[in-house]
Amino acid sequence: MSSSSSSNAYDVPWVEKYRPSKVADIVGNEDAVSRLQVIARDGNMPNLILSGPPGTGKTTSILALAHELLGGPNCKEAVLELNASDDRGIDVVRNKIKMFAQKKVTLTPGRHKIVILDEADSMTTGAQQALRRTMEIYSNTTRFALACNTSAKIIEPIQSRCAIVRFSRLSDQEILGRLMVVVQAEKVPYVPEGLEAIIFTADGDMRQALNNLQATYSGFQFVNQANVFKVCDQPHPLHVKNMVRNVIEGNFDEACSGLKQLYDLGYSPTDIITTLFRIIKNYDMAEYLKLEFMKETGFAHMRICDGVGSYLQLCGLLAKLSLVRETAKAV
Amino acid sequence: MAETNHHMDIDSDDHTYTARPDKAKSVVVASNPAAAGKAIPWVEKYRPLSLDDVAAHRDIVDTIDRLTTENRLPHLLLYGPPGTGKTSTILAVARKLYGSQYQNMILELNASDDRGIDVVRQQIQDFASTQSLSFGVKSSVKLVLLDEADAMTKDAQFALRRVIEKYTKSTRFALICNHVNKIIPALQSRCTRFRFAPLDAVHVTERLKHVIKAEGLDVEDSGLAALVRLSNGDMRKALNILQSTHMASQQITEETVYLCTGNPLPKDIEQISYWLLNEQFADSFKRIDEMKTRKGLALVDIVREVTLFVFKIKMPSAVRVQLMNDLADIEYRLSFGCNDKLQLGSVIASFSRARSALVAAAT
Repeated sequence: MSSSSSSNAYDVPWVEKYRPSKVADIVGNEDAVSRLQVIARDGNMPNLILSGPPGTGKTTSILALAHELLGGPNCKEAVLELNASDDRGIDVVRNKIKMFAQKKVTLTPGRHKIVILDEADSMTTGAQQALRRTMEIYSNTTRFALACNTSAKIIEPIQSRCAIVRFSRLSDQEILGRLMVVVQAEKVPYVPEGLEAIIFTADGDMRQALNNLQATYSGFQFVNQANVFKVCDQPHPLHVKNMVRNVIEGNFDEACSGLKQLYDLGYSPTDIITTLFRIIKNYDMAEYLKLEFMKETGFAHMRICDGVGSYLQLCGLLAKLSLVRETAKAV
Repeated sequence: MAETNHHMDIDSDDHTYTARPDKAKSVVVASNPAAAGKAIPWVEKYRPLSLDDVAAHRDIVDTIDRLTTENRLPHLLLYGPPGTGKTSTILAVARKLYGSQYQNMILELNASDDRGIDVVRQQIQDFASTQSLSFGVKSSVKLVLLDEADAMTKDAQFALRRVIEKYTKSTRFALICNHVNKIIPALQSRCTRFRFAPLDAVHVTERLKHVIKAEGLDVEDSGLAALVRLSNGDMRKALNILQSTHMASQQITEETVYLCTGNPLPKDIEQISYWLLNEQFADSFKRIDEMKTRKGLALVDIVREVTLFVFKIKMPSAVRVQLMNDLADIEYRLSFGCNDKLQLGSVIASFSRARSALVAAAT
């Protein structure tokens, strides 16, 4: 039998290596974190729904909270964690979760067993319906923490039984702060523009930021803008910005030739239009024009999602933006 | 013990098919190497076997090569348009890692296999969690290759996320897809991503010349240029067009290549553009419709090619803007199966309006 030799040891993903183990160490979302800190200090955790985009600290928060509430030894005994890779159909709710809720575990007063349901929005409605009664019956001994991207996908009866904690995307400064910690700990050679590029590609997602950093470092041993955009290969924001500038200045042909370059580089229309949307959102232009540009970009995105992702559709979008600009000028 | 994936040995040097004796189904064995060679699609026949043979993307290939050599291979997500070398690269990595044992050390699943949530929970998990008897293999980590991963359901992708984390010690996952935005962020962020851009015209030409020489084909320069132009950086497409054109005619010219693919010839597009910009509505409609029928052209292809031609014509920006806007709307309508004749009328009307604007601008 072959076993992994030490030379074969695989670097632990930095996402796991630098995952905070205390609620206080969690970056960003001060309101949400402070609420969780109060629970960690006082105990008596309510049923929770943590909702928000990926990589904002939901799972980390629950795990850290469970660790602080129950301590090391009890954590294994008194925590049941199920996520989308586990079977979580109606039978599992009726059997596994119910069995865990009935199990006797000795805990200090004000502490309860915790069932963590990660990615709860991917649970079937039937399974969620089965869960609601279990939550009520065993509320004296067991508390539930559900993590999801959109709380709207959790059925109303469960929402009404839980306190909802909302997480939002992290700010650039918050991500930069954490990146600096990792960069120094791992002795990663970098230039500031490289970290800026990582923050841009992460778009408020800490997990994405750390993975992009690790991928760039393991691939190129140096974090600069060029290397980041090679690994996290999106249409270059400057290129797209020039395109928008050309449209606003009335240079339609130049805008189209810039678009052709991007299209010929093999970027998918979705990638191009997503970057375009983000550039328009932050571009310094008249508010009316910005709103119209975003509306037209939305329509073009819908067309691409309908399966018409051709160069002509993207040219058509630039044409529509040019027409909007003409109308705005006339007004 | 990991289950062995039995495949037909289509990559062997003499290109003869060999069937494994333990298969119950009867397999046709081609004993004549020449016949077998003819039967194999050139895409498979000329698929690179080592990382050195992979055309283009040297920076990506060298990075993966270095990570493999240093035993630091992470989970990979290779994405980009079709025919850019994603699967070839990862198979070459597998050959480098495992040598002759590579069939035992990889689990390859693509869109034609069942890859629902149950397969992720059972088959992939079973493969990842078992130890492999890998005698004399340089690397003891196994490889799960998920080709066309963007066709996996969201649920299956979510299920895969934890499996990837859990079995990192013994297994590497390589996901291959065309559209990275169809892979859930949770999976993306667990992999090192590499984008395979369309191949450079130089690389496509180089590889085609190699195949042309090996197969002893008669290809004109114009034919080669047409192959490169139509492939749009897709090596698989280029080889398939080359092979099918060769089957249709002995000499490969621009004309035969375009005939074989059903794309409008550049001179046809020039002619159509001339009619659109100069003829009256009725004449233009009649001539284009007649050419469409005679040459079996699709209106959507004509619209797309005319778009590129429009950029070569000198005209005021405002006119071009309006024309592009109209053509984009027409293309969108065509994609929903709208009547070709009506939409052709719409194309001609758009050009008539552009022509009027050009005349007005000139006076």
